[in-house]
Amino acid sequence: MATIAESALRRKSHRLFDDLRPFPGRLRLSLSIGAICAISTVISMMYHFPEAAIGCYLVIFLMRANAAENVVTGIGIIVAVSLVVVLLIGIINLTIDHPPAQIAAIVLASFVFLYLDSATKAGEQAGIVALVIAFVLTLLGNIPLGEIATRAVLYAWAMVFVPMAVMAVYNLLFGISPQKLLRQTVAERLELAASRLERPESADDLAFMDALGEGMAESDKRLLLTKLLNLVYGRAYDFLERGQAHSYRLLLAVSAMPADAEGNSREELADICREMAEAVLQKKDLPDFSADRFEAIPVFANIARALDDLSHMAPLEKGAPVDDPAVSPDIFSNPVHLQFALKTTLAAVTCFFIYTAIDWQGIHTAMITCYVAALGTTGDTVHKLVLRITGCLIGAFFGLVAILFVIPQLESVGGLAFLVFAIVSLAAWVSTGNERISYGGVQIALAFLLTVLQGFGPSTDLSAAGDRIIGILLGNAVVYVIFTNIWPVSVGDEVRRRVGLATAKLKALAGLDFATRRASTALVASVQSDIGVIRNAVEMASYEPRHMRPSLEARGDYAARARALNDLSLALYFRPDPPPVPEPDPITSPAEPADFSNIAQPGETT
Amino acid sequence: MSERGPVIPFFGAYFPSWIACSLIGIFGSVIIRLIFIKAGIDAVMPLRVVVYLFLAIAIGLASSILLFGR
Repeated sequence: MATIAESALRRKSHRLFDDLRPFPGRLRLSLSIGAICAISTVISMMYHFPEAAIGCYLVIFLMRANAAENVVTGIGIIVAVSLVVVLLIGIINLTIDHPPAQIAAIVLASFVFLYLDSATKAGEQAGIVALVIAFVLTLLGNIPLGEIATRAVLYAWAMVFVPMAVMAVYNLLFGISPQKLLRQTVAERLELAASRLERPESADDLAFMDALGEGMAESDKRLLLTKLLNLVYGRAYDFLERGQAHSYRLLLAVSAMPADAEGNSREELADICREMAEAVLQKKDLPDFSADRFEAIPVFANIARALDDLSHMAPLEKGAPVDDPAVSPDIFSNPVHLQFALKTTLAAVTCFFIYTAIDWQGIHTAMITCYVAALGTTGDTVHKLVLRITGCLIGAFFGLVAILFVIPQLESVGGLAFLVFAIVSLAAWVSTGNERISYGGVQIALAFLLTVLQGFGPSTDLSAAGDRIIGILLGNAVVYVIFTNIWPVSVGDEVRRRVGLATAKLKALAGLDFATRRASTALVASVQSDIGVIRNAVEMASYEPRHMRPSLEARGDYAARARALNDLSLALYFRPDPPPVPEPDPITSPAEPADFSNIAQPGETT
Repeated sequence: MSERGPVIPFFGAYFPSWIACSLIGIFGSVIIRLIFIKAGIDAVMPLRVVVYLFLAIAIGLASSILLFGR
């Protein structure tokens, strides 16, 4: 066990390096984010809309690779904020003369939308609405007249409208379409399967584990969007739908392969995978492949069959449904949602009181930071805090260097746009990475933008920059204190919840006959994504404060549970007579993990 | 730019007419797209984004001439 602690630092730095490596589309996505921020900065500066930095932040935070999703998100946020403006004008008219009522309105609005953030699929979008409402309402304290207040609300609307509209239009014209992303995903899975087949001993291959742990939710969303927006139809759509499911099945089959499998067939299968990946990317017909030859070798039968189905684009059979409700089923019973909304509201209001009490409006970014920082829902608060503070300091450093050396040379908004483009692209490179580092990138961009974009043109005010950095640090500190002391959500809680969810899904799967189980790729994928979360949670455990950190044994136990669930899901998927599933039991503390060691190799019987 | 554009009274505020025209253009091209999909034209059309974009601009400008006379 001691070796785990010793090698932890080395492993983490190794992962950081891995997470910063390029992947297909990463450069294009980063440059797109940089360009959108630069364009919306120019528009905001030219028309004198305030707070261009927050608008750009929204782009960095919401932008995904999928162009269709970005267009839909952009339009959705614009519609939501338009409705909020109507609501806000009502609230302001009621509360403008009563400061206590204003505080109550901030608390209430922020609570309601944060509850929606935690308990529904609206997620981050609802959190952003909460941020906009609370931010505008806190500004009202300084505004003496009702009419100016209304104007401020309209400016807040523009602050969101400009970047979101730029994001939607840019993605419409230059974005990466979901059908192309789906092709890339299929090709990427084939490549991963090939490299695993060539080197079966590299069992902890990070990219492979990430691809498996991602599940099929993201690709299903892309499929749904291409269907809803009629982007592809007919055979092309069938290809994407089937290819996506069969390629995930291939990943599962490869992950079930024992490390000591015989060599020649492995290399042969790997070559076929690579050929297919090439064909998928070039939109050619897939090479013909028949599983007959491998039927006799049990360890490869499942892999060969998945490749066979992929090459002939076999139609999907109907498997067990995955219910992924828009509103989480425990919306009113689970106190976690209530606690999340209360904690975040408390953090935001605390920051508001702090800077009002010491009469230092310059650090109002503290309150904004609370909404940004509290968006993480898992127990890895501290990991995110480390990322946030490092990111903030890096971004502030860039900002200060820019203010001292670059901005004095600039004369127009155009030069500023180039500066924003360069640094935001750099930050976006980090923020488009895995969840392990993406928060750092967001904070680099936020701190940089907040220090550099102050007035309506290049500005070299150092004191305002300092205020903003102090604001971000104060916000992070308040979030840290509140989230680790009041109703802390430990990594262990998250692990137990996920184990419960995964076990329940496996239980549902076990009740079905083999033909249905074999077709339930989506359900197995959703179990795999639960297992991926558990694996990540175990990594995050070392960041927790000492008093709530799970012991090394407990962490080993979590990892064992993840392995057991993995074995069980593979057995249920590939074997006609799987072992029994234990009762779903998320509440009790993890005892001995169930013993699945007597499971025969998947694929042994057919 | 020096000339004042026609405006529409709306809840006591005055909105520039180009906002209404661009909305008409966007909704018009969305409706036409739905018709094209039903008719199977969309599937064989090259450069779809560009075509619909220009369609939206054309409808917007046409509505500007027909409804507001400029």
